[in-house]
Amino acid sequence: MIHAGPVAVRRFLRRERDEWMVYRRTYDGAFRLVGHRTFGALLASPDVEVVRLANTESGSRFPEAVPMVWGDECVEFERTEPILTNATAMTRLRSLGGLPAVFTMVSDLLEVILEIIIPRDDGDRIDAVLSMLDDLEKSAHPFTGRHLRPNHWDPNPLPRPTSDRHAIFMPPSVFEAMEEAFLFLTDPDAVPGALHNRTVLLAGPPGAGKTLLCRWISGVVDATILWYGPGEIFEPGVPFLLELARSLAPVLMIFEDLDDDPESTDEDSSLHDLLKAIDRNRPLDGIGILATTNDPERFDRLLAGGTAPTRFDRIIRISVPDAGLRHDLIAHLLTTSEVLPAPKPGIVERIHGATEGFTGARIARIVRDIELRWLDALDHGEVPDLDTILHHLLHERPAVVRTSGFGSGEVE
Amino acid sequence: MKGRELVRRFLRRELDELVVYRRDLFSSPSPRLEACRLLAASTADPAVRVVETAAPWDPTGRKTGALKVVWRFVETGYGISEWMVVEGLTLLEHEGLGGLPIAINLGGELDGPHLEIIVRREDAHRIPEVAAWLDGLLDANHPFRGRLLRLQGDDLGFLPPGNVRRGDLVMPDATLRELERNFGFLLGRRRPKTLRHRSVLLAGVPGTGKTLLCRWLAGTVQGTVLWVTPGVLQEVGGARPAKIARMLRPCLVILEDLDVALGTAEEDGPAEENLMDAAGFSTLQDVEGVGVVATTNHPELLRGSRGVWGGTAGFDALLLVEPPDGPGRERLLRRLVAASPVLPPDAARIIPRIAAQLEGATGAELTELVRTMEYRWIWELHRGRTPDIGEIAGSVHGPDAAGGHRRTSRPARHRGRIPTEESVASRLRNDECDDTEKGGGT
Repeated sequence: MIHAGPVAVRRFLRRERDEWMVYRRTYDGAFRLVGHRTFGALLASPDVEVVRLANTESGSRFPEAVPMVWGDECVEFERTEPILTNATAMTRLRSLGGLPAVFTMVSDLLEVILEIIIPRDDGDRIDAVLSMLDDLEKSAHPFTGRHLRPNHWDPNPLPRPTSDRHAIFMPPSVFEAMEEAFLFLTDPDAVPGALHNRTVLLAGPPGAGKTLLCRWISGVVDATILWYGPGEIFEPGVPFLLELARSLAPVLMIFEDLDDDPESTDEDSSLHDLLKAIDRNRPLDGIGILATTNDPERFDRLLAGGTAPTRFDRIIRISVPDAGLRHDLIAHLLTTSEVLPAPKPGIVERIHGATEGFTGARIARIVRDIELRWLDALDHGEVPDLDTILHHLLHERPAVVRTSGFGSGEVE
Repeated sequence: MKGRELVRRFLRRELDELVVYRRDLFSSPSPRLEACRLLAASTADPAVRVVETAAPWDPTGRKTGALKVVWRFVETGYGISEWMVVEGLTLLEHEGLGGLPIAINLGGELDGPHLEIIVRREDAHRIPEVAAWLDGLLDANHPFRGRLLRLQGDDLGFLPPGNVRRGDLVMPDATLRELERNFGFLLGRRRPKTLRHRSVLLAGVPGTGKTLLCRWLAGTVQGTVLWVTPGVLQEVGGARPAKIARMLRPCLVILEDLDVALGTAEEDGPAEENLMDAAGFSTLQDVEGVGVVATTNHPELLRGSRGVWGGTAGFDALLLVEPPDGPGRERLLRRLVAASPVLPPDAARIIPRIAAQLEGATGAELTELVRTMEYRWIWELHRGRTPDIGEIAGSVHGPDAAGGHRRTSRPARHRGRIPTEESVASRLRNDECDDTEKGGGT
């Protein structure tokens, strides 16, 4: 439904309604912000002379007079800001010889409709107008370069990750493998265009640092990040995700704990759809796919059963840190602690000796527990004793604190 | 937009020379209360001069520009309602913004209100300043921050203030200290950023005092408390409680019977490995200042029999709450009998015998037992007989007892039961506690 006021538009274009050409573009659900931003870019463009800006409606004293409308839109992680959401702009397009054009933006909770109205006798110039609009849309695209967790209705911006490589304790070969795989996203000129897609599976036990690696690489690459947790690909569906990725390329898609997708148990599952898409990966130029799994054998089983037609380009297996990395990790956690004093000689070795086979996450959790107990002692006016705390945490290993409702507490 | 004539006259501009800023109430945890509170706060702001609050009400409706102002009682706390404007037009000049004339229009349905801020078109560039002013007003007058809340569908409701004190809990000091240690950042203790988000899972069969621990925490922490029952979590999904918690932080979220909410209490255990992620509290998002305590009635899930539960299921700490041991049972029974308005003081003599025979009984079951003894005592007096505490005790907990206080099918009895918001409110009230769940109390 066209919302532009016919009288105002007629007067501006100096044409009757049957002498107009209307082109309509819809931005629905998660893409509403794209429509708003594109309209905003249009008003700010030096190629566009805004003759009059208003919204239009029939039936009022001035037939087309109602106010422009602003609304709140989410522009960053849980941060909204006012943005123009309903308006009509009477413009002359300088780059097209002063072509008169009316741009109308109408929004509701479901969609944003942009309409472009030009005189019909200038109809052959609509392609040029749309091309200009495409350029504006691309330059003002609110998703480009962002970290998102989008579904159909919400772009769901994520906070920008801050993982520092020096705080991740893994063999250098793991970092190298990741950087190599996604070089086309960090330095596109260094990689031939035909190789601008890559699929990597990170496999390892829970707590080994897969998510940490994903956060790190998402801060390294120069691309839009689309991040999905377990089960989150089912609702939007694989075709939507891939279409979104294509429109935003270069893109890194991260699928966390892919094997945990509750819908991924049969042949028609989202996981199967995704694996099929990877097989037909060639049209996915500029798209990197990084998935993590705790159960790489599940993919092997899918492959062996013929239900998955292909495999990832590369599988990077991550295990628990070896003795050297574990030592470095413990030393790093203790020396960077904002709570604990500088570690005395032997403390790192003591924790090191008691944590063989532990994942990095579990070791970090122990250090957090040490900090908590240290602060707890101070809160109660006690003198914290690291020896006692370490003895309790390392030797009694209270993975589960057991307590009876009424009797004396006991640590398992 | 209502009151067009009035707005035109006040701003001295035609309608096409105005700009409307529609305040986003869609993502608010309770749009109606937020809109009403914002309007009230804006007119009470000392930096604002209120020119007029709508036009005089004209019952004929013929007068041009005539508007009504609708007042209603709006719930602003547990058992507290205030008169607030729920529909009206306010015309004001903001001295802090150089005398900027602003019309604020609150309207719409009670469950779907809209708040419009109208300025002259030449002032459109000042809308971000107006939005920031409103943000500041809401921040200073937030109707929910620091309150004890329950999520009820898309809306928030208020719960009564917590009334469980530390002394009311007959539990090892180590248990309470473990919780205080984890949630120190919500207790006014200084904690670094890395320790300003903690999650604890309380696991134990029904009646061991998990809910009571949550009630104690709810009344102890300094910040917002958001109580989420499994039925609501199933209905709204995990993202909404997490978002509200971030909005109202510092915040403690209580996820009751999490395994039921996530559908993991049946058959082969949890489908999700990381229950915190599944409940919407992904560490990918900024969860600083948010504490989570969840409960489950299935402690067997924590015993490592299933591989995925051998870890911590995404929680920072796991607390297994078990029924009291012999001395614990005796201690609790003594407190219950001593506090009884019915039983005689010498009733304490039978306590060691009962405590020894009720191996595995939970605090809730012991409470129930004493209450039944009280009823029997009254019944005997009512029949004109002289009650004998020994006989009564034998009749209510012995093998022939009709009262059913032997521990039989307790876990099955509670499996899959979904508490409602009403039951939570009931549990939090002094006088309507659900005996089944308040086992740790006295």
